[in-house]
Amino acid sequence: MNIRNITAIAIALSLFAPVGTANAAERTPDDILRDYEKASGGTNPWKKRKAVRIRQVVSLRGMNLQGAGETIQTKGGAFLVVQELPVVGKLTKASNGKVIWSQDKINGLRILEGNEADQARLESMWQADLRLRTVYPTRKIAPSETTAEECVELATKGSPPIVRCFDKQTHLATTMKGTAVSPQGETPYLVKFLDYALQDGIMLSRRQEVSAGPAMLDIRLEGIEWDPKLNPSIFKLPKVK
Amino acid sequence: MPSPFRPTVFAWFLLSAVGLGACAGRAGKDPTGGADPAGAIETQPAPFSPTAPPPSTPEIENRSPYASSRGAIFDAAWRTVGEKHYDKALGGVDWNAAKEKYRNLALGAPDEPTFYRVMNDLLGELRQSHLFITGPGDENPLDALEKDNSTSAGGDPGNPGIVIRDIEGKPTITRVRPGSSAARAGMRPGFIVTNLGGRPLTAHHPRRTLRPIEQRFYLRRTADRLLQGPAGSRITIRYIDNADRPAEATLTRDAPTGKVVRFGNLPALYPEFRADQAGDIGIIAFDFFMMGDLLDQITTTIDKHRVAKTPGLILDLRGNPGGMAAMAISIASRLVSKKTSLGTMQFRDHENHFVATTSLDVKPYTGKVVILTDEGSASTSEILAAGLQEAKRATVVGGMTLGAALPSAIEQLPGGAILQYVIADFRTPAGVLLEGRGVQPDRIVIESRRALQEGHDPVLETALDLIRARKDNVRK
Repeated sequence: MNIRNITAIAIALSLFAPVGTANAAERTPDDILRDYEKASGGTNPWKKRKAVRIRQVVSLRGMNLQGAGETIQTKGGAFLVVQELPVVGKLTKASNGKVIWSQDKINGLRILEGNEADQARLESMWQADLRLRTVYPTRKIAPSETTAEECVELATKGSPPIVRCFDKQTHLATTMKGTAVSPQGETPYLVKFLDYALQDGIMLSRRQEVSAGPAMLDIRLEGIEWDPKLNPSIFKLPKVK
Repeated sequence: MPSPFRPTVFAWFLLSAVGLGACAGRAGKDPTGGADPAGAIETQPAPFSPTAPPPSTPEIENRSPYASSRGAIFDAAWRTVGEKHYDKALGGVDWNAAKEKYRNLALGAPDEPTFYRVMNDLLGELRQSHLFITGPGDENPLDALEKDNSTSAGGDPGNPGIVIRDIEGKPTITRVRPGSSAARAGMRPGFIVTNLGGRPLTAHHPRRTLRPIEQRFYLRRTADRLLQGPAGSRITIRYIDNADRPAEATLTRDAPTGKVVRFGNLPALYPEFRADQAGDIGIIAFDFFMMGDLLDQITTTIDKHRVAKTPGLILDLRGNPGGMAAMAISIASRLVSKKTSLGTMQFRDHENHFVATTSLDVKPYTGKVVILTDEGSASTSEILAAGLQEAKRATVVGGMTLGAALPSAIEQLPGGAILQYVIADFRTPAGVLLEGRGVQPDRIVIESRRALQEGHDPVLETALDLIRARKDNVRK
């Protein structure tokens, strides 16, 4: 029997194999994401919340360089992400729910469009990780590097796909792989989620290792504040002088 | 929110912080890199394998107090370069064979300067700039000489306020900072330096064959390093004055005029900024690319010229060895009216495009732009000059640039060693690789001692003439 015949039989058999029965343990992407939502605390802890402020410490490994990060998200769809490194300066990404904008010393003040805007929206929306099943129209199983993990590829029409992997036992996120979009192009990144702990009913990764190209960042969670007092003007596109 | 993390910051961090290493000469001691044609390996390269068992290394007794760290430093440096260099094939160099060749030599070195010399020979196998290692116990002869010629004043690093360059084959003072101790001591452009800090200045590297432009850079850099020392300390200079008489003076190192910048592992930097005006033409000079206050000074000055509608702006990048690569984008964005590519940084597994673009908060300067260069212009200076030159937005005037434009990172290794390694290469929009080639000026200006003696700056004067000629044409 030659290779062409084997392939033909394999195709024929696959056509007749009932979906989902080839492997009793096979799970759909939504099974995996649903388990993740549950493991991370579900929507209950969020129900009475309207906004959250997350503070982080960002270190560039090997360079003895440390900066600060802050993320604010609101139920109404506004968000503000600020990262600051000594000398390099401040990067701000924000939205008032309508316009998504960015400001930094390299690319200046810009209204984000296309893939870049789509990516910022997906990353920064309220309860982003609990809405993966709804905000990513395309979800499929992705190969995992270890047998202890199961992975899902998530994609929208607008932004590059990401691969999220989850621990089979705890169902918590272990890694995220994708490409970050900027005017300088697409930069591949890999995030490892570490050091989970329960806080305010939510399982939080308190430390993340991020590799982007040759750079390695350590991001440490410093604090979370629920329903902080916020001035809505912080989300608005700054006025140009 | 279970993963409070935003990946969009990565490109920005990567571009700004990692591109930092894209500079020649500040972080490393030998900006011309480890190019050593004599050391090139001609064997068929085997693929680099970080997991391959290390070549057998006999335990070597060494009396140096740092010797116990050498193995870890060697392995970390070798692995880092192998895993992070932008070219997975390392330019065809057999990296495993290089390890075999140098590891025992390094571990058996009689002292730390020798150990780091061997380590730099290992890096030199790649024959590229921006590869350098140093660490505790390392001390090159120049460092020792500087100490000999300094009082132990400590504190901020200073210099007497002169620039010494190779003019017509001789170490010559090309600039004296107004009001500096050198100016007070009577130093003038055109003086030939016969001895600095007890040694003659040479353009020849003791161990490496340099390209002619690298030789000129080497002389300049050697003089620069000798001139630097603790503020208040002194250095002796012997020279031939402009009447061709030999003379000697002792110069005091002035405190730095720039504001101190501390960034990660880098030593404290004091970038200098000058904003001058020749008639209605603006001149901006700075000696390092560093964001923060310096970038604010540059952008504010460009904005002033935009508002004043000055006919021309000169960016003086002579002697500027580079720095934060992303700063080229910030500056270029203030000089272009439409999206303009400055080139592409090719990393190991992706590329970043250096695109100067308009933004809501920046209005571009639209007058004529001239960039001044010389053999001391490197790295980010070359990226900015080449990008704006190819886009026909700037005219480059002066001398060829160094051709050391490989973006690099600086990382601390075990044992306190500091490694600078290449993470990307850079090509202009036309695909020109700047490394080893440099930027060819549109108008090459040959500098002479005579012109310096007469108080001229022929490079600057050519730039001013170019702008004025255009202004006259517009009036006609």
